[in-house]
Amino acid sequence: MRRFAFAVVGLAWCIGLVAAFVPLRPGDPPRPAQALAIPGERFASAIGQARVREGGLRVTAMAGANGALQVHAPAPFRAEELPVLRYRFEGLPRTLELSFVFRRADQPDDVRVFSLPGVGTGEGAVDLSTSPHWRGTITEIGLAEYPGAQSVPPGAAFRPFTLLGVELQSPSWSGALAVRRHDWFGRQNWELMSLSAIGPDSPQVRGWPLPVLVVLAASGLWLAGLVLLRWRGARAGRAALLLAAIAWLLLDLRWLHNFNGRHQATRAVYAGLDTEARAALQPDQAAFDAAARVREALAGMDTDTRVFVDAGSDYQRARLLYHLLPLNVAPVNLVTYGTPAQRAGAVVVLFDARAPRWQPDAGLLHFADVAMAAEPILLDGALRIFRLGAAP
Amino acid sequence: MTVLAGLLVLVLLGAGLQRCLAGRPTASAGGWLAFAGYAVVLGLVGVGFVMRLPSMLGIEALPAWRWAWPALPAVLAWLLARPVARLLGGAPAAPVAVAWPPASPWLVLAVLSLLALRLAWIIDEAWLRPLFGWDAWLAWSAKAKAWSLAGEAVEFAPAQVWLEQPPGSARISLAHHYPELLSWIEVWLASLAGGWRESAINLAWPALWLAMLAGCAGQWRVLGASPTAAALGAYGLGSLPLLTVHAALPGYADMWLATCLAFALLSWLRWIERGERGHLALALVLVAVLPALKFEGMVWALGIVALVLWFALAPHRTGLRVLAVAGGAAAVVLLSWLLGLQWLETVRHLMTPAPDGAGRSVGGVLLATAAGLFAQGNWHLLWYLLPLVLAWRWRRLSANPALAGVALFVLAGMGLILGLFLFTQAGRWAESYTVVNRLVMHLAPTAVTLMVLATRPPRAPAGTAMPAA
Repeated sequence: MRRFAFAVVGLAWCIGLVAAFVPLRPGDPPRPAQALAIPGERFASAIGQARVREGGLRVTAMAGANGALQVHAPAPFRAEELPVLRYRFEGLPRTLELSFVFRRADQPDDVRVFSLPGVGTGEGAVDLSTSPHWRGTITEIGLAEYPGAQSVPPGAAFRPFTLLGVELQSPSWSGALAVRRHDWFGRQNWELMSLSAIGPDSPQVRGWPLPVLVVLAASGLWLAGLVLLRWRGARAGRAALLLAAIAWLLLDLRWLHNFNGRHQATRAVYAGLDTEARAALQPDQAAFDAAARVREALAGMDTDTRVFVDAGSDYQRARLLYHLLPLNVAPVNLVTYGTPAQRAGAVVVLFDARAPRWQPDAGLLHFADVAMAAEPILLDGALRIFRLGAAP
Repeated sequence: MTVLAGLLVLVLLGAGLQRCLAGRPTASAGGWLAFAGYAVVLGLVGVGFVMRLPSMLGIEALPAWRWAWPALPAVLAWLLARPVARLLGGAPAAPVAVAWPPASPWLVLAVLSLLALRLAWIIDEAWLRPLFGWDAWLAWSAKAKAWSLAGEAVEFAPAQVWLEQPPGSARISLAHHYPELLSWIEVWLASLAGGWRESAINLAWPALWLAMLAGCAGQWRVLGASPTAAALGAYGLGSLPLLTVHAALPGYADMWLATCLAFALLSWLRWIERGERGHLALALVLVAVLPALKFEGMVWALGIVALVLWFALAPHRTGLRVLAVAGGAAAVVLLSWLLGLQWLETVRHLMTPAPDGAGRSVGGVLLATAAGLFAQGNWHLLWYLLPLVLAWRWRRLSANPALAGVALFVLAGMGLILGLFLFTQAGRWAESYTVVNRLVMHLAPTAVTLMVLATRPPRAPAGTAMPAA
């Protein structure tokens, strides 16, 4: 009888915890009262290439690093009434990040973005009401797919996939369960933040975290055992150890599942390639390729020559510096350009950087302090290389 | 063939250094496991110091075949092993005479399977993916790549120095002032790999992860933990997600620091509990490695030195102990100031209020720290269980001053991290989640050690072999 009571109480405790953590609100119906279902074939490709096929929209190409975007303009609806988004894909590559985009009637020029967990083949679900922008009248929605920033080589990220459809739903228990399940067990990719914090790999802990649920469940079961099964002394200790071990194991199995998913994304890009091919396949492919052209252009140059490097972003600049080693490179944001005498005879590498301005007819490079004679070594779109002359 | 020869050199150097300092391994499975784990770590650290040596003597050129250089100190270490070990009193104490029941074969199988699966994915990830993390290529690998490819150990200097000195006499990086041991280890690995091959260099991190597990598990057994506790502890340590990530996405120094810190404390415990003086020498060597890996290493090193001094003096002379600890800490700080060591400048900078007035909010820091420890997926249940285990085994801890010292070290370390975030500019890093878990990681293997050793029964050695003052 005591064991039966323990089983009932334990089960009720665990179910209650899950209901609280999901959360299942008493006022919500089990199934959504309203839903707006949009099949994949109703979407149109705005970025990239896609064609309608039976059962969905087949996305066949990305527009480079910009990825792909499929949009649809439904009859305007109130965001607050349909906060649960469920989306279905077939074969969405692990290497692509996924976002939901939408436009509101009150801000027709602004597009809002909501990051979504990936799904591969299957269905994902999120609660859009966690976004402060999901309010008012929605006039357009879309799904964007793009290579993971700083983690996936853009050229190797894409495989064709199919958008099967999306459904916006009013609050319900089934929707809430799907959202939380996807939050706890959904696919995640490596991000730079992964080395500092994981699960979620972001500063923000969304919703109730699973470790807290597991701890509360195990603690409750142990307390129930103390009261109902009269665990005492060594038996209580053994039960505590067992519950802790099971809780740890459950969390670890979830982590292994998550880790394997991340690893499979890496394998999708790099497996089967030799060392040199892998080294040439970089998330910052543009900077890597630019560095190769710089090295080619400067081949034979004395490696002690100072090379000032600037780029359009901190990331590009830092990566360009790393790829250009062992040249005597220096980031302009750290060293500036020094005095004219200090930079005389040096090389300036500019990648997607506007300053200093080049005046070709006079052969001058205009720095903030002075214009200096310079010889262009390479002028190729975003990449410009100059050899500076003597100080004026 | 070169790779095999290089790995042999590494293991011989690590084993030789350990043989020198701590003598023969304890004649038990745990003793050999610990010896193997320590050999890999000491070997990796050792080749880094060997690579560094010529430039310390003013020789910038790095000739080819530098992977083979450590063979010389390795041979030297083995030749000197016996006399040095005898001098240090490195004879191993007898294995702990506790008749433990063997761990359940099913448990061992489950633990090994879960760890082996993880290791396979870690190795594959590290091998396949080019260097990933910002700090990896910005701080540690940038210098190593420059030195390896240029074949010379040019100094990395601040911006003004780089601009003012003749071209080529110095290089610059955003992290020019960071400790360089890890970069030198990478120089050796690159030499062994036949060039700057990130895939090959990356494999040092999975190796370190495995060595950490072996070294800790072996030491736990030698220190009297049951086979079951050691197996569960190894699984617990190996399953910690953030450590797994640092092994799979190589390039950061935090796991190195965590490993050396735990190894130093475990060796210190062997001296305290089993009277193995050689292990005190080993602990001090590992303590010296800490600041060479990261700035934070100096703070942890100071903590261990304080422990060593405290326990080296007679228990009844509390005043002398306090004086020794305070004096030792003051001496290290003074010496660092006189030598202009960068860690002190970093501490001073952190203590200075942010010029823009921006800083931390107490609530934000506490929330971020709590989320990192308890809510995110970084540590499973480690930080939930640690206080529970300490409370449960409080009497045992009280009866074992050395283990209580380790507990104090961990608690003080956690307090220090929290204080750093609450009272200095570093609070911003906590709120952005970029640092809090990586600092906590330094203490994670030690925390698991504490839990495993706290579960030992009273008949296991508990400060019984503490040396006389």
